[in-house]
Amino acid sequence: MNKFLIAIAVLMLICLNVRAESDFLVDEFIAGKNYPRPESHIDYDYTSTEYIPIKLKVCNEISTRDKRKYLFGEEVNLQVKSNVFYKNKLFLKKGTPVTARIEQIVESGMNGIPYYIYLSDFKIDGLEESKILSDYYKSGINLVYWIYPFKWALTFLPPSGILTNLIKGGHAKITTADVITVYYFPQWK
Amino acid sequence: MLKYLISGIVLMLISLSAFAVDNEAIISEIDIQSHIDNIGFEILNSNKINKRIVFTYSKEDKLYKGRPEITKRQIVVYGDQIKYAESEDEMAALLAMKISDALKSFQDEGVMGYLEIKMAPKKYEMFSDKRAVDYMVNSGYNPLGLITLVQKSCPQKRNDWISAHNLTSKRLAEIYEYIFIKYPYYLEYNAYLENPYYQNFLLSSLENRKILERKLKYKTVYKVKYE
Repeated sequence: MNKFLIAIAVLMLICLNVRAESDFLVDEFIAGKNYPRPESHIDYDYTSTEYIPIKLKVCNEISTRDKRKYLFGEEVNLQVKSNVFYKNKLFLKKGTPVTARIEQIVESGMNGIPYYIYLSDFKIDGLEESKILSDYYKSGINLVYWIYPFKWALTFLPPSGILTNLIKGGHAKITTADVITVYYFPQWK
Repeated sequence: MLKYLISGIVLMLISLSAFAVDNEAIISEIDIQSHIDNIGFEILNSNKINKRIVFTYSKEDKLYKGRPEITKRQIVVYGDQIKYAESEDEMAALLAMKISDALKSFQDEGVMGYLEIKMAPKKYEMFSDKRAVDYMVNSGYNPLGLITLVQKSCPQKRNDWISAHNLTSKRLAEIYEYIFIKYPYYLEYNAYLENPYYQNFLLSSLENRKILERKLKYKTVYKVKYE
């Protein structure tokens, strides 16, 4: 009987010691750094239609030819391109610093698909981020339009259609001359 | 006469029970549709997506169906997909991936985005996965739900050379890396550590996480190749 009880007690102790495996990568690089919780935007009110277009430009050229092209999430510096007026008053001065993040870089692909750079998380000094509406991306030369019909035309001569797979699209580049327009909705929540 | 009466009553009872089954099925479908709409529109609003996208539940299986999310901007959640979305995070993950595809199809009046997704489905599968993480975070959902959803619903093929989909292990590694670098909070305070599907992901992704470890240790900026 005692043996039986001891066996049960040992089994219970084993079961209590079984806990979820932790992640060695988290233990090594993340644990204890107390990262803040990313902000979510679940309290919104889009009733107002009043908006202010804000034109921006990047401070330095961003190109997918850059060796560090895969750093998604990297902060990018921009500035307001020209003075912005709202209700006949100066709202934003030319040169006001702005930051954004590289959301994703899509690599070029077969059949003429170009590189894409997506920018998001625009932050303008003194303005609420949740009131900014932006959807900016820049692509390289896109060859899909003419390659797609060409590929289909070649289907009569198999397997020559496959050859179009070798053609890739161009690199994406956001230059200091490019205008990036974001919209600020002052009444939005 | 009695026989007629009895057979009449029996027939009525049978037909009544049939209606009851139909009603239950309809109510259940309305509930599922409402659940999908709630989460779907929450994601659209939280991410300030100003394009029209609708959500539809279909009892049918996805097999041999088209992709209405890129042709009609109608996100259809099929019966064989919804059964894996147990939690709200997983349902949000399922919808967020499809929203990303639907949104891409709005690009350049729709034609270019559609063609690109059709011609490079693997590339845009990865793209949608990463965007889904952003959408989930902005809407207040835990992005690790995407990992558990993919872990339990997508089979692991032998290779992806001639497939329209990436190897699931590659997808999971890319999603994990994206969360690791962009939203480390969710890994530091991991609410999924006790989740059996997440634990299974940790178990089956050991090699790929070792690759990521090397990348982080030596601060490599180039894209690493997962297996």
